[in-house]
Amino acid sequence: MIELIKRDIRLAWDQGTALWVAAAVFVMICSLLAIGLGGSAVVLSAAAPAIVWAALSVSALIALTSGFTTDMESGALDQLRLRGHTLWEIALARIVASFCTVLLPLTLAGMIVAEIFAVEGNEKLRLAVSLVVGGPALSSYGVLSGAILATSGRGGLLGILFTLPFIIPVVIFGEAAVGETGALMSSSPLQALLGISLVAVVISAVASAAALGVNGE
Amino acid sequence: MTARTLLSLQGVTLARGGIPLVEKLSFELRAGEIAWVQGPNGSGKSTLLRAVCGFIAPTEGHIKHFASVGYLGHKSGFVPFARAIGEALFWIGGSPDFTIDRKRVSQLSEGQRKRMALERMSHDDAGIWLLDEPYAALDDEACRNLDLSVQHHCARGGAAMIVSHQGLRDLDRDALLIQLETR
Repeated sequence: MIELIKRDIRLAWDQGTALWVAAAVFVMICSLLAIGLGGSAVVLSAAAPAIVWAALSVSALIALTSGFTTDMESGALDQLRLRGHTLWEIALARIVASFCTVLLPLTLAGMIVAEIFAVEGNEKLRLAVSLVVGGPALSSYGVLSGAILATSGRGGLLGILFTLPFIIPVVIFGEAAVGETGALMSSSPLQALLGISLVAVVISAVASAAALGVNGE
Repeated sequence: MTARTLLSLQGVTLARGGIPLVEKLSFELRAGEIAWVQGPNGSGKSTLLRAVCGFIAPTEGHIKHFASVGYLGHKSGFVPFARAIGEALFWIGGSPDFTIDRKRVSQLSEGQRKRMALERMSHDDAGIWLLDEPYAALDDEACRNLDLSVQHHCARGGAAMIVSHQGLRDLDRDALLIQLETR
């Protein structure tokens, strides 16, 4: 499993474009929403968590939903299976690697946006925690979408449309967790978000494996 | 003394889209043997190799492996945009014996990619080599090197199953012929 995760991180580094595209989309969405909201500092500070969550969700999915196409087209998936790796191991490793190479950098970008939009300290901390806790869910759904669409050669918009119903609860609870008061880890939306992430990782790994198996025949 | 069996197919039927491609195929491949799979386009040659790999389940019959499988298909199995040295380290555990410098896999020649693929099978100590059109896009020297690799593998107790429209060059003297027909 560690070997697979290191391989996926290496390939993400070698490719490079996925993260840059995601970052560009992230910046565009944040900028356009800020312009559309009139640019008022008070309005932007209040709306920043929602802006960051929406932008991060869309940009992460754009980066993730074509994830298995290259592995399928190059025959690498076949070779990994021959080496004894199961499809669910391959999918789980991809979820972990995607979280590290796409979601965490975008979370960092989100914190920079929060800083620019003058989000308060406590709210900024909650935003960071909610993004990290909800990130595995986004990674999982993106990978699942990529597995289903692996042989179609089309990720991107089709992948986002497919994944949208699953990520809406993630965004709702993620944004709600930022607005909570009281102890951070006892926040109900944050606990729900954690539950969603855990379930998403397990179900997506299994479902991705099934999809890759069918696509590989 | 009879060489040990590495691969056994018993009454194997393979279908694609409900249409049978291979029907009730039975044979055994023993250590040191080479099987040459022949047939027209669409007769199920590549499908047969993928079934032996375990990627496709037969609709009837059984496929039993008594050794691990290595597969060189139409695709090399290396990610095109990846740095070749990174792929070599992952799959082979080191740099192959030809210069790959800072090249990406897509910048390697077909011969270089196939040599890396053969080294991958050797590194994994695969007993059964499955080769689908291995001579395609290779020059004479690369073809000779491939033949030597296969002969060396079989001499060490392995076996090979080869799909080739171009014949088996020097490998076909004692090859087991598996003839598939279009259905």
